[in-house]
Amino acid sequence: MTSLVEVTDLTIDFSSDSSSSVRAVDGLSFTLEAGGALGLVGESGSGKSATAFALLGLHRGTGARIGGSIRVDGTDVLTAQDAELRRLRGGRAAMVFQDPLSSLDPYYAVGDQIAEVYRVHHPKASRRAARSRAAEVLDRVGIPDARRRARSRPHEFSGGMRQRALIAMALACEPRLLIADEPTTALDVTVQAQILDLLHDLRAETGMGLLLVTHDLGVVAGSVDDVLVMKDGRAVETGPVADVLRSPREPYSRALVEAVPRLDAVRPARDPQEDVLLEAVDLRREFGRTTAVDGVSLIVRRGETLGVVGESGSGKTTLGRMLVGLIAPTSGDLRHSVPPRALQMVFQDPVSSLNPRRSIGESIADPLRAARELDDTAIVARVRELLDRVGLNPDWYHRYPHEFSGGQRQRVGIARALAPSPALIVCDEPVSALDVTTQAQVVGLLGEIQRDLGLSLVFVAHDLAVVRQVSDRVLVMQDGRVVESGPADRVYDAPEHPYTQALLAAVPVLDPQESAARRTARRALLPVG
Amino acid sequence: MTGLLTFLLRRAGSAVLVLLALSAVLYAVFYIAPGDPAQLACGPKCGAEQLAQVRQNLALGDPVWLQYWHFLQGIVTGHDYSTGTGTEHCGAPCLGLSYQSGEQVTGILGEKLPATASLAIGAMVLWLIMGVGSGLVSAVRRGRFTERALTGFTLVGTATPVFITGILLLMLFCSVLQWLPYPSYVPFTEDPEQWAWNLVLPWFALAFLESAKYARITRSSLLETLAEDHVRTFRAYGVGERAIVWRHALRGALPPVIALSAMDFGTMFGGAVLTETLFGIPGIGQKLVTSVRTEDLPVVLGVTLAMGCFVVLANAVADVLYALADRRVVLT
Amino acid sequence: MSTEGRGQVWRRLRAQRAAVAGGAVIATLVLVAVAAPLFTAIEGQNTTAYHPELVDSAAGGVPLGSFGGISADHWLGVEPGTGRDLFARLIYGARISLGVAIGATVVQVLLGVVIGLAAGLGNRFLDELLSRTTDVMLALPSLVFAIALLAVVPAGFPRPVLLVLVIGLLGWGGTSRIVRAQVLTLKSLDYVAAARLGGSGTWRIARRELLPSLAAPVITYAAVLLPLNINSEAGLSFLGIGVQPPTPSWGQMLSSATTWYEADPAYVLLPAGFLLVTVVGFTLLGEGVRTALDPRAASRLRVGTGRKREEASV
Repeated sequence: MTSLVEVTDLTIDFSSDSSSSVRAVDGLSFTLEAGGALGLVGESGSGKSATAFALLGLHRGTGARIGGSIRVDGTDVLTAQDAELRRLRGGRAAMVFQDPLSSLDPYYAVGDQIAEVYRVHHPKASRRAARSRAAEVLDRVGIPDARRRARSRPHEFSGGMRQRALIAMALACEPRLLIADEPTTALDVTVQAQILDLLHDLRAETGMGLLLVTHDLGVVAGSVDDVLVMKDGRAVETGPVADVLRSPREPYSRALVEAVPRLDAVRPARDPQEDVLLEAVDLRREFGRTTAVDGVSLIVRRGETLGVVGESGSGKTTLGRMLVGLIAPTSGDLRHSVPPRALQMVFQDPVSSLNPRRSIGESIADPLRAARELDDTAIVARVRELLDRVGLNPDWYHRYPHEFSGGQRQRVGIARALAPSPALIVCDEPVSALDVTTQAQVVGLLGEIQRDLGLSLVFVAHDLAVVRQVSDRVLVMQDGRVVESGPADRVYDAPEHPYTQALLAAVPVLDPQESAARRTARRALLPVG
Repeated sequence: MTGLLTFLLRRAGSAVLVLLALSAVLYAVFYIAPGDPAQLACGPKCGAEQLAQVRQNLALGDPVWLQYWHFLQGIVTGHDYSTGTGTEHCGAPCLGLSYQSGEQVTGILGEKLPATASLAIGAMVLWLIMGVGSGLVSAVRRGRFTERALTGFTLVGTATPVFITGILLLMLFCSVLQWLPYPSYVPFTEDPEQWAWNLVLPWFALAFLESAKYARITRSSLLETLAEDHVRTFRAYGVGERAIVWRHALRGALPPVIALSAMDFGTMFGGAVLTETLFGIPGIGQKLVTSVRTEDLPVVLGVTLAMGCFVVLANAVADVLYALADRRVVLT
Repeated sequence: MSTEGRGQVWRRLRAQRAAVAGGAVIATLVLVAVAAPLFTAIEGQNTTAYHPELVDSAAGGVPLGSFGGISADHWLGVEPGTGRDLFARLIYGARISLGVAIGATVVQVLLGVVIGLAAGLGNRFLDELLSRTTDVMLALPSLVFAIALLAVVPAGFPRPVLLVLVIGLLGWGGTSRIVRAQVLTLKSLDYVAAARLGGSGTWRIARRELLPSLAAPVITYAAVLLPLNINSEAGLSFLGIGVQPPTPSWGQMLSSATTWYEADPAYVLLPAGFLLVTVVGFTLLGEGVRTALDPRAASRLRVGTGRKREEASV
């Protein structure tokens, strides 16, 4: 019997604006049997998404050059006629994309869009039958009141609902293969868990094959049978998921697995002092009619790391910006025992956090120049010292941001925050935009600097495992309020508030067996939403 | 639904505010301008007796804001003017009185409007069809030649002022090829066929440059929409290219084009003024120019205000159409 | 966002043949306009002297000789009816066209930048107010309002200056809108927040972070405004309310030329040609400047899965 998916020696070349071309995929081969589930894992630039798109022939007509062969459900994708390819797409193999908001047509009702797809592959079906099928699949993916909600437009759904709707569209024609391209990357962790559970159930029910493309090893652990690790367009290691995750053979896959932050990480002991650097009392911040932060009180002591964790909309970013003085609170009190310049910030986005027209040395020097306390020679010396401190070559003073990678740019951002000799640094999602191997390095750097300089850190993030790795105490935020706080170990090992419990239950883990067990436990805890 | 309603009300409200501000500014410019307002309103050939009457009509003794208030009132409820032989009632909307010709401005506008409307609407229809049509076609059939040709055509087209296009067309079709006689305006009510024939050259002159611009904008708007994520989704589900363009891409590609055509209304009035002057079409544009030459300021003020109002209204209507077409705009 | 020196921008500009051609044409024209007295002296003519002997008054004033009376004394022929030298009138007309257009563009850019900055940096009320005003200014028929304004000003005021002011005051809307948009985008960038945390005041931030990023969009837009302003002046002169005779202006010459298009086509084609060449030259140069300053905006659709690329770090 032929495999569901058979990829042999696949190469994909994209041509960029100049005459050069980029090889995204370089001689990739793999197979997927009917009903099986394969995870394509890699960091950005590994070629995993390009591969997924190639399976449906989506590069056709874009100028990309494809070599090798791809067979999906018997169709030779690269040589098939347009009409045959259209029959494959959605009819026998369906794709679920990363961003459900932009992936659905904003002008039409969701049910109508699903009905349209259904009628493409069942031309004799009546409009009523198509709409009925749409309501049926929307219901199957867990959207309450499906028949009525089918008439709503995409922007009227929440993020998780939209992704369910996309999955419903994929189900409509009962495909034999489901290709999911980073289906949960844009979602909160609790919603992510629900979507992955849904995919698992659907597979069990329909027997369809699954190709799951993701950068998150935890996501694959619980959802696939086999995994293929990709780097620079090539396959690095492949095998059953339990084997690859527990005992990876290749150095790259080993580095990848080790870099994943674990919920049960052991933290180096720290010795925080008693004196209070920063005290916030009942902070509130409103934007028009929405309340982003709703009465938060906290203290930060010298030398400690306070983790602030929450999903999107929890208010943690606004809180962070209020603590350093970038945003003024609408009410509440903020007291600090150090001058304002001693409160600094490390930002999330390595692209927008550095002025592209200024050299990295000058960006770091900026706070020193603004203070006008040191002369030029002293400033340059200090900047070189800081560059060295964050692991960059001091001779790169005059290079520009675009010459550096994301991880390196974050290091520059850290150096800049260190320049005015701060006492407290608020890190606002400092590693979320980085690949997982880079994340570990930057988090390690932050820990090192904190120890050496006796700094306090407020670490704001949505990734629970990363927060645990660095924090002494943790605040859990939901809808602008702190729902739980305490020493990190206590909060993670014995959470008291139901929201904290739900969050922790949703975090993906690397062990497939444990992942399955947690899935069963989750069904009891999480509401559908 | 309430979101849409609030939006409509807010938009209508802001349009009214803008109209008020516009009328205030224009009024201020004309009546606070250097020189004797009465003399300005009456014109250079004004006799002393008439001058006195004008002074009385304008109530120049009153403070400026009161004069303006009377002006506004006149627009809404009408105004009574004293002439040599008694009083004349100027019905609402009263935009003033031309002392040189003795006619009411509103009347003048009403007389001249059909010609301008013939010119403007005909040209607009022509350029929308030509421009949007060729833009759509060239987007669907991509090719380096089409893009280069269109870009080149657009560059020359938008650069050329309408009176040059007009003269060149005149020379080509009337003098060299002799396919058409020198155009001379014939009202629609007199002879529809002649009306159309005499407007062909002016229509093309006005439409020529605009259609090039619209072709380019439509093309790039459509190309952009075709590359968007949601179009990709339907392609990934096997929907044919034709359905993708008609059902999914056009709806997103057209709103910017609509928005542009609203803004273009203003430019078009400018173009109309030039075209009417060139081809001798007796519309409000030509009237504006002749009034400036004879220094008949009430007419200038009235026509300018009327044109400004049309533009503000056109923009408001376009905004509403845009919002209806794209519900997301309403929510922001 | 990319960072490059001026050198690279220059190189990209020079690489585009159309833009270079446009630039060369404009440079020549500016040269001729500035040195107009010199050229007319070489030719031996001036803009005002009538030469009735060169036109055929019996035939209504058509210039004698071919192509509108081109000869060694009159390089581009003479004006029908009056016999005035066309070359001299055309290059002095260039002074008006270029001078008014450049002046008006400067006014528009200055006003636009100031208002755009104020709207982008100010509080919500100021922003609302200035934005609405900008919207109205953009929508209004500027030619019509220019006509109205010109009607009110007393005749004594120097006309070219007046044209610069009127066209300038009516056309700042576009610049203001793009400046405001750019300021709003920049304001929200993290590196501006970082500068604030580092102790920079508002003025320092505006100077070091905002203004340099405004240069490119403003220059690009100014390149678009120039040909528009040339057309505005020409249009107003065409209608007879621009510069007044005897000062020569291309628009005005075209206006009188409309009655001569059959008898003396050169009288139409020459000013039309000059005007077209100037406007197209500026337009090509403008396109080139736009591409040189931001090649990505002008390039074609990119393909691929559209994800951000991140490389492994050091």
